[in-house]
Amino acid sequence: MTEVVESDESAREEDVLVEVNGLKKYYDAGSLTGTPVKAVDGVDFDIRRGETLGLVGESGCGKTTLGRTLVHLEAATEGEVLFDGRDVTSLSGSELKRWRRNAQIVFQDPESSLNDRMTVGEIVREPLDVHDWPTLTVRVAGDPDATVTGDAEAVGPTATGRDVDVTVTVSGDDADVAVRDSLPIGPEDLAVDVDSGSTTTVDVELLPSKAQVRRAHVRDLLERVGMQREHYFRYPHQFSGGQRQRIGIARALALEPEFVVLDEPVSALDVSVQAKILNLLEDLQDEFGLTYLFIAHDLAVVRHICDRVAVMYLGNVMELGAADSLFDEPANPYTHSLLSAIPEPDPTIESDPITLRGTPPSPRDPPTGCPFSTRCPAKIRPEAFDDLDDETWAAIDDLHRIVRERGRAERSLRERAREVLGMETRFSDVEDIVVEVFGRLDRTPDTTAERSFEAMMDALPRDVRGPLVDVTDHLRENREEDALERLLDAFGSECDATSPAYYDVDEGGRVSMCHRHDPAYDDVGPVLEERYGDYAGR
Amino acid sequence: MSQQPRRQRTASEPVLSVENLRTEFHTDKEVIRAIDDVSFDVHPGETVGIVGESGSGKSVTARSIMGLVDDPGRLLDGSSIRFRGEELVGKTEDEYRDVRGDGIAMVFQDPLSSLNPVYTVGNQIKEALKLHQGLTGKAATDRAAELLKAVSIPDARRRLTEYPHQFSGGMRQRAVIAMALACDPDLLICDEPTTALDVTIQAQILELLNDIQDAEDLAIVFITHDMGVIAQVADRVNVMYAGEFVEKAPVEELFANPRHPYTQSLLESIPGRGDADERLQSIEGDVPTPHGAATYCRFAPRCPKAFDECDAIHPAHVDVGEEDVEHTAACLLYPDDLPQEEALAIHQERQTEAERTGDGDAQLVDENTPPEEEQ
Repeated sequence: MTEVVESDESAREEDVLVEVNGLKKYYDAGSLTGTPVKAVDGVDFDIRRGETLGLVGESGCGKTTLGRTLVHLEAATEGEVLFDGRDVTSLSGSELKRWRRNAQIVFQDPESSLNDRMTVGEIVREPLDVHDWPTLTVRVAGDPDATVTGDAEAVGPTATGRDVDVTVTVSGDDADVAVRDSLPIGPEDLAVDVDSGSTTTVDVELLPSKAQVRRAHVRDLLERVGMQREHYFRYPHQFSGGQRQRIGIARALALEPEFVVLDEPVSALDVSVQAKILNLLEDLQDEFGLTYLFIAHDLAVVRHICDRVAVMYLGNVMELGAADSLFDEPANPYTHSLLSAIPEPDPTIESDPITLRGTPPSPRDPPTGCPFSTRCPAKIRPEAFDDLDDETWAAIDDLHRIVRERGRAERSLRERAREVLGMETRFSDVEDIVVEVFGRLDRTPDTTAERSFEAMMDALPRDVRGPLVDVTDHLRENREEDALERLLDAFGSECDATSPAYYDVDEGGRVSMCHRHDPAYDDVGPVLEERYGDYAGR
Repeated sequence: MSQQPRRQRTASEPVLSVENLRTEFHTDKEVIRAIDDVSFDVHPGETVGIVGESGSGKSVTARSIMGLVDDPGRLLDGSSIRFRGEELVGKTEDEYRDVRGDGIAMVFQDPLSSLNPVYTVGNQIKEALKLHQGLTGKAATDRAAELLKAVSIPDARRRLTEYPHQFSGGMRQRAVIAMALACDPDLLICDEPTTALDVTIQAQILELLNDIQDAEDLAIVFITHDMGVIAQVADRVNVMYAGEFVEKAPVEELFANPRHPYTQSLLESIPGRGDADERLQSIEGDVPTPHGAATYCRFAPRCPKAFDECDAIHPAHVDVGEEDVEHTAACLLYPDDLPQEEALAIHQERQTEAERTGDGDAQLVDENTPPEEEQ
């Protein structure tokens, strides 16, 4: 495994460990109740050997589902996950079990991910018992045809690093035995018997019992993650949050995986404890040559620990690239907004962040076109409305969101009946809403007496008023679908029509998904600057 | 969340004035001094931040002010909480209820657990309006819709008829804030109001609180563990450790010039402040659980700058800032312009003084507080 870590930078560029192609995970797919929840909606990316890829986004954006799908805790709906070039989404049975040793996960909440009735030793040992560890793998040097018998099995000629536990060099009837460093046994614990007849047969016998080896391994692991060997017989409740997270990490490392998904491993911890766990994770990565997928919502943490970062929104990867350049010069409007929302631990910074309005749409009903189009601060506006001010646009976007939400709101049978009969329901105060949304504008009347629906409409430009009148008519008759369509028809743009492609945004191979990267439109930075004044990127 | 120029403290009377607050929890096994000698003032229109790790006593401070400390916990004699000049310590539950309804409101961390899942949001806001302002019927519904609009929930009338599970996390917290505003408070205590929320939603809520504060000249006590949030919202900050305030300063001064070793370590352990390639600084060990009055510095076991006397003398708050800046720290290293012996003498003298006055307290309080000789 050291070969990988020591290889130079350019070789590492090519050395992909995990390749994800068009991965989708839908829940409720094929059920009778209608549309599925599109938790992960077609993502492509690579994870290089030995790097830490960060996965950030708001809650509900699908980052945890993606992480769980990668380690096969969820079955993928579509797409493939290539692990060392082999598709693992279709694995099952013993093949899957065998592969799982390579890919482990550390969970977010150390309170609920450890069984309180098992001792720390039992918890960390459990994966070893399940996988019948150690399955000693033997390479007979210079003789790939040699047969291996006893407590061990032969490995293929291509196996390297951690896949080879014992190397036996045969000279006559004597054998020189070398054991991989990270195993808690030495050559003296093995009885090796060589029979060099027509084909060489090597018989390997493990002298201590497997249970003894496992216990020794668990104690080693506990020490590696900063606990004490004596903690083997303690129970999880006797430890603090930070220590419990260390136990979770030890359990994930027990089977010596190459790839570890860290699902918000420090979110539940205090900042001083968080620093310790982050340092530990970095040390372990260096020591074992691990590849991490680091899922988090804390961008400062991600910037600190990750080499590359993928920004997710509503099941899609919006931007992916080297951490430093992505944080210093974000390309995608969503990355801009996310970074601008982080409170800086420096009171002298007088930033005026882009505050995103509203919340992400439901993954059951994602918008047509770009997933971020309902909240995007840099959304493309139709040319016909070039002169319309930002404030009125904000109001139109607000109305758009309200109409979307109304369309999705559940109606009881009683409410439907009342609608059909034309009686008043909680959905009927359409005019109030228009007054509420457009009443904030400078151009509309201020005094309460004048704030009637008609007055609002009169204050708006003619080309805005027309579509709005239609929209309110549709809403009044509870046709949210038609209202939405009319809104999109009048005020929609490329962003609402087609899903954007990925564009290369720097030399380092960073990609971003936004129509604004198309040369036909102004790019994101200048647009945000124009719309948000002082805001000039970060 | 546009940044206002930091509000200048007005010469007005403080809305809330906490003095020598000490809260203890008595269990069969032990006595836990969750809050030890905490004092601070909150003036109208300003935000006072309390920041510290979990277990440092931030939430107990908030609950003590709200009169929500239940058995086996109680406030020790000598504690004083004055709201608009009126003493709150010693009030009966009924009297306290009037205060909570009339002047002080609180926003908790988890909006889902502060809302009742089986009543509509409108019902719950109207209940608050009925209890505190006597509004019922259409008047209450109208006012509730206004409150929801005030916290920027669109389509307010429809939202009133919905249940908490139909709201998103950010919108639930807005509804809780609307409920807190229903009693037209002078003081709002926010206990980690954005911890359970995403950064984009957090930014919305902080902006909302800022707007409400400006509109109503509201005083806010803001409790959080997030140094980034405190930097953005607070005017003055109290750093809390093991039940005590260890440093008090205006927010800019605190971040530019942290003096207490704990504050310094806390700031250094935030990722992103230093070089990204550097290892993060961390504080060894855990927050201790204080039992009884301290006769030593509680941070000493974890302090990189601790020396022998730290285990023997309890540090008092001394001025550490410039002349006209209110910046104090409780650490034996200060005042650093004096030779060490003199500095120690100051702390020693204050401790003796506190013990002398504290003696009377101890008898009134109860025999469970172990006098220091027995420790």
